[in-house]
Amino acid sequence: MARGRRSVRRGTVAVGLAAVASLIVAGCGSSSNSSSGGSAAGGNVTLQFSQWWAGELPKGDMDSLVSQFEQQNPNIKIDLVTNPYQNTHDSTIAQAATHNMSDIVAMDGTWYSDLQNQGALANLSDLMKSAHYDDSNLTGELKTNNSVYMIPAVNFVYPMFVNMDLLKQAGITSIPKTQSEFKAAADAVSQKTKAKGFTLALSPQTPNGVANDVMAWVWASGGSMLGANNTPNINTPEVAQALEFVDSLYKSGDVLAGSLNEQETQKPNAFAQGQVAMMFDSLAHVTSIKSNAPSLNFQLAPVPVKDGYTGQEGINAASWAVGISNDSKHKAEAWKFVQFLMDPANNAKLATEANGFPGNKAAKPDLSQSDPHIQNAFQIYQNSKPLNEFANGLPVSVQLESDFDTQLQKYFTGQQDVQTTLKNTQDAWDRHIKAATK
Amino acid sequence: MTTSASPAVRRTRRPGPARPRRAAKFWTILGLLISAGFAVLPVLWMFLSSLKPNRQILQTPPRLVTGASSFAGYSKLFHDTAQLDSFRDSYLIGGAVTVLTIVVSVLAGYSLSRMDFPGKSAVMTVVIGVQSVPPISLVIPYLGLITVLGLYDSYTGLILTHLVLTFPYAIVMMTAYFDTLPRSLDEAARVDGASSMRILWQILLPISLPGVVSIGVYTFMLSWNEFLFALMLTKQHVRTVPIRISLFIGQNAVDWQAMFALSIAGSVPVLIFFLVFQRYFLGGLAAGSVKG
Amino acid sequence: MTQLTARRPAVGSPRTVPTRGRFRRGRRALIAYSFLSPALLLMIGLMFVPIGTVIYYSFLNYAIVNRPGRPHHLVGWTNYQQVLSDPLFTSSLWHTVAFSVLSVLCHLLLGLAFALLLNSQVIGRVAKGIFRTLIIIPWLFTITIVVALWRYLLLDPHGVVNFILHSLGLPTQGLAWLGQTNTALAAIIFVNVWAGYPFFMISLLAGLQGVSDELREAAWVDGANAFERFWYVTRPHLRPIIVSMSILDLIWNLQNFATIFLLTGGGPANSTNVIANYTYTTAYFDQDYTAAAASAVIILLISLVLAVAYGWSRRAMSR
Repeated sequence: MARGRRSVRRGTVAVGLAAVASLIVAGCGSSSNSSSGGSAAGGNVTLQFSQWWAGELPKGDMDSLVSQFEQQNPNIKIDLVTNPYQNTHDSTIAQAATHNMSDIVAMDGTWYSDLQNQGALANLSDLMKSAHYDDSNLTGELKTNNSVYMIPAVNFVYPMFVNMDLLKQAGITSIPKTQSEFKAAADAVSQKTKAKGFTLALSPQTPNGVANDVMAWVWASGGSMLGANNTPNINTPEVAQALEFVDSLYKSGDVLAGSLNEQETQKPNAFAQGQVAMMFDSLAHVTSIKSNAPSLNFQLAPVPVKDGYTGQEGINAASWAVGISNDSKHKAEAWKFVQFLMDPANNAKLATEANGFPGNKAAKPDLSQSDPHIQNAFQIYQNSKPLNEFANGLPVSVQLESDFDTQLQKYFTGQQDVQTTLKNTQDAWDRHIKAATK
Repeated sequence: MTTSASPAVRRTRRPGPARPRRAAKFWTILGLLISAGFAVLPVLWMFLSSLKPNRQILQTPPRLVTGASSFAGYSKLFHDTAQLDSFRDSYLIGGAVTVLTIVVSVLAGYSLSRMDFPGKSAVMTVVIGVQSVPPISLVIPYLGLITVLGLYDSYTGLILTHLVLTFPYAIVMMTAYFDTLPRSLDEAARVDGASSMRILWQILLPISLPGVVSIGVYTFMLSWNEFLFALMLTKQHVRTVPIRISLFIGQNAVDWQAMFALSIAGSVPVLIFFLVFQRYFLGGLAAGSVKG
Repeated sequence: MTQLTARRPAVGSPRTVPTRGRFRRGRRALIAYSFLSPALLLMIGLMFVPIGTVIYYSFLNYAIVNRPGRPHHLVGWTNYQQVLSDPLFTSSLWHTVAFSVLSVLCHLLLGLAFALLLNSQVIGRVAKGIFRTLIIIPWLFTITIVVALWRYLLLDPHGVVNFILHSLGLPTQGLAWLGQTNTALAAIIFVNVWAGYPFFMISLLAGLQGVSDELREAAWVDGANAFERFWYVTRPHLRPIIVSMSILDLIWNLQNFATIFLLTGGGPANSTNVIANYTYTTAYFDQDYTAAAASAVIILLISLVLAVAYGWSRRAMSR
């Protein structure tokens, strides 16, 4: 009997030792600190900066910005952590919930409430006061109770891209400025060429297509989905008019197939391939369009307005925003880096390299070397009112976009009418906003 | 017990007369070609795309090879230390997970297949139940636990996590494989005085090698391809290949060529390993050798 | 191998201990549990807290987010009521069942078919090796790439699949497989089957190695044709493996999140929304982690039912 028991024990012990051994070996290859990113050693501070920007900028740009900062601040080191953009929203939320966020965090403006809801962001107003920083030149700070928690560093406008060759082929000679001109052009392109007039990216994974491709029509004509006290109110005649206009494009067969599953990055590809004549897209895509189709003859223009509208035009804008983790042990140093990014010279450089516009009004981007398209877009930017009402600090804004997207998909596939669509959206919004404060 | 046909006959005869055998061969080969096509053609397209520059990958009408096709994407890959590091991370984690899973699942499968003990059905339910909660809903509490244990952004943390993901399948399947082996083997050995461990490692294991290796292959694939926890549990020090691949999907553009090249390059070693070693576990070497 | 003369059982064999009573059962249990301990320790150690936390969340009023001034308190079945009365959840339940059952069926049929082809005796070893390697290729790729590849092949109205079909003369130009409500679910099942059948195939192939050649030949001698040989000799041998894998695959597909989310995000118009997707959007879009926890627990319960059923079937099979 002893032999049996002994061999069992021997076997199990051997297995246990092997397991522990391999774990120790593996553990030696890792480093297990970084609960909130930063560390300090004898006056030197290391900060972690989580972002996805490095991949969107020319190679090496982010690194050189960081080295520039380190040169100016010899006792601060910046650890650059680059994340996959598709998953940054989720992983940032998970990190915030488990106190693993980096010291400085890059975010999209629409995630503001998701992170603020967890108390994950540090109060920047306090930090600005301690650092005697004058923030009057910053466009669109995101605030709660009058304190700033997130600052947009770069703004990306979404003008209309127009394929001039396709328009000419369809017999259209000028860029549409109003909705009826747009419809005429879209119809002509769809009927007389192999391309379609318009495309929308309404995929549910990242539902910002509702802002970029649908609400843009409302905002261009000075409309709004917000009512009194900034509470969302979408069931209005002006929104209904815009929805019916877009639906008319669908019904006339002007829209590129697959829009209900299309993601934002597919639009510039379709445009570069000449599959669609007009689209609303981020200015940042100009570079990739030109590299994919160097001979493409296209122009940028403001989003068409309602017939007869003469007021100031709104233009959809997304942003690269930045904030500081509330768990950071080195908030003051982290603020120094944020201040560095918002410094007019650096901000201008960052914005230009990213094909966006600076979040600091005092930053004058040097567009003399830029593409004429960018220069044109800057004109549009300065003449319009950049706004994205989903990024205004509304609670659960991603869910709101998703609710709207679900209803729009039903509407554009003919399953319900516009009144039901807007009513269902508003109901869902009311429900979610109420729950968000339960 | 001897076979029913003499060795000489066995060499030359197979079930069925000659003509239907040729027909069987034709249909089998056809079926295999279709199956292989089903499996491989999309990947072949991926490989051909990895040779093209980005602007040509999405061109319509699609073309197999263009004038600009080259291996530039691959040479870029092999000069990029970050991507090579991710190979190291993925293979290290995959290997550790596979070895540990095989050892543990063989032990556990044996006891679940051969022994009767109180709480056995509860154990089986736990084994399957552990993977019954959608991982996406477990992420935040799990991440909290890993952080408290100090394993955030470490190899150990990810290895342990992958083990938890692979154990249920490995244990259930090992049990099933052991179930297919007759107990008479055990009993014969036990009469000779062998202990449980001896029966397991010296008698049952060699016969169930096909099953063990198939579990090993699956475990390695699972760990190699795992994305969710690799994303959430690591930040900087550990970056596996799936995360590297996702990094090519940017906000403004997708670097298809680099993404496809990394996927193909990463799978080639595994494929070669499988090609070379498969005959040791699937080549019919062990087939029918211990029956009767 | 067997001894013809009786001899005293060797020291260490079970025969030297009392053959009945609690003592022997207890000892056997001890051996069994020692074999199981590494697995059980790890799984329970790492999963007990997170699973327990999720179950706990499903009974709370809110979790993870900060609501200063609002204390946490248990709310009984409120979250479950909210989830079960949500028409989006009910429809996603149907989609989940359809997706899982069809995926498992196709995985099984394809895997079995390929395994039988690969196990065939009429082709040479080298050919077998090459085909085996080719047929497991879909397994080698992570979900991000599988989805990226198939989105690219399927989605673009002018994409590769449509181009080929059009060249063959089929009228599918402009068909957005993933963007239309009538084709999206079939398309994601197709991608899921493509990515997952090697799992079944390899396991079945390994199981087929154990099927006795003599038995098959004896069946042929008895006049059985290929199908009867398969049905009466091969199939019973494979049964434990088929049942185990089907249950596991069913449970996995019930929870499948990444494939569907990355391919369609639950659209278009919620036509491919499955429970795991619903759980995800409730948590990460809506920030309602307690309702998400409730829907996760519902999946857990369904899977546990399957797990218990599996345990019964095992016991029944071994009787």
